[in-house]
Amino acid sequence: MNSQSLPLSPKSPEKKSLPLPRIVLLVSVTLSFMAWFYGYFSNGTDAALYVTEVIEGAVRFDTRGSLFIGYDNDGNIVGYAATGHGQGYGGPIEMLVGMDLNGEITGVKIIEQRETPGFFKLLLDKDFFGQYPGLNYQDPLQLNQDLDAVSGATVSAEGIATSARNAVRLIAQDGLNSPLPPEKRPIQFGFPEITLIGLYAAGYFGHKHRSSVWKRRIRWGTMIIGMVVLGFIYTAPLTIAQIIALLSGYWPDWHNNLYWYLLIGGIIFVTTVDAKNPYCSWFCPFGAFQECLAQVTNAKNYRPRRLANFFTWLQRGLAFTAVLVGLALRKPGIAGYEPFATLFDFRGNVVEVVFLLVVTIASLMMYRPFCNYLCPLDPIYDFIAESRRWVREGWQVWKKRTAKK
Amino acid sequence: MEKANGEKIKEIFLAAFVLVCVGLILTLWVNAFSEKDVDTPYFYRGVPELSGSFGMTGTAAEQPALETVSVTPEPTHLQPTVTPTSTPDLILNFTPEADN
Repeated sequence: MNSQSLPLSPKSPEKKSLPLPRIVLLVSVTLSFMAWFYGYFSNGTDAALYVTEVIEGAVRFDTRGSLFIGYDNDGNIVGYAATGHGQGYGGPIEMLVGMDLNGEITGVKIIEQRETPGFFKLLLDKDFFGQYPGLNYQDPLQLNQDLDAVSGATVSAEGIATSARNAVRLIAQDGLNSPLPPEKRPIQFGFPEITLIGLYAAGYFGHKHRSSVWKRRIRWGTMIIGMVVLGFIYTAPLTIAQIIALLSGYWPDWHNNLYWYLLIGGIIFVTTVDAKNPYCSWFCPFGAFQECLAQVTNAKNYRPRRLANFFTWLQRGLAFTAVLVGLALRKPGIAGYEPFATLFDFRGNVVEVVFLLVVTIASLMMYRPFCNYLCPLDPIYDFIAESRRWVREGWQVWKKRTAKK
Repeated sequence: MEKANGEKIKEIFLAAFVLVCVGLILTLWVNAFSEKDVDTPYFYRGVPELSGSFGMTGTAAEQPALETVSVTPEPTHLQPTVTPTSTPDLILNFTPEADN
């Protein structure tokens, strides 16, 4: 939002020394790589620690490939265990599943997860894991079939269900010698995906429309739809956690996460190719919420020149810290600070509710205060825009040099 | 003069808003980072059991092993020794009525 008022790049491209914003860009990329490597090599849990917890009667275990074989005191095989992986909201989920010789699940244990603590606690509170023991390897193990989904943590529950199915398939094949048929993975394409494509299209044509009256009408239409559908109904706005997940390499299975790819891919594509931000001004649900409040009191944009530089760099500092921490800990959800879930899902602790209240009150006094001063996504657009400018400048310099030769 | 004062008040409000929000964000981060990893309980045959390390960083190896414990009954649980005493025989003098 503020990149127009405070350009990142210098006005004189002839200047030979590297300008400060580009030095910062280089430093931030280097630090992000370092955080990524640190996180990649410093995380991990050994599933073997928990094998005897999930196989009934097992006192020791042996391994055969990826399969754990549990033995009782007399050396008899009493069951099998294996780990499976799925994709949650904040990254991959690893789950250990134990099974007896009849193919019945005896125990489950999450080995590793990167979900936002609130989502995970919701699953524990709803006893999601307690549904597994007693189920058979031939059961579907699918949400809304033999497993109850958990409202408000659907993506996490889906990730766990996928990881459990993968573990069960491995045990069925390598332990029980009864391989299951290949799993069908239908492409999930429904109302949120259609809405998102529609919003992109409306934003594209609305942006090009010559009539400012129609442009304004279309913009309000997309904002209201974005707020209601992507906000209050599906609680699926773009978050910094999704950007960190993308950078961490936690790319979910596209079959049932098409929305994720459309949202992030679409924004990055349009910003990179067309140098326009298709999201913030057109259908960001939280931006629309603030703008609706601004309409009530006729609040105006306020950005004093004297402090503009300080606020811009403060906002960038917050976003960069969130990215670094998320990458280093390999937990995308841990550093996010947007009050989106508090507003759209009515979920959050005391601090989050107070934060939302402060932003709501401020939105009645000035235009989009969260977007202008705090949102971590704005610096991401600045980053992409600055990188794009740099590449274009380099490309033009290279073209001139080759033309001279 | 009034305009300058108004502008200054606006700036102060804006700075206060941003600083309060940054303070809240820092509090959120401190809470998130200081929160212990949610160690998932393991579930066993439909009966959820909290592992010994629930809410703490730990490993399964740290959990105490199950042991067979032999229990000797404490003296208080023993029945008091009772010396049987003879009860006097109840002698009933029973004279059947003559059946008419």
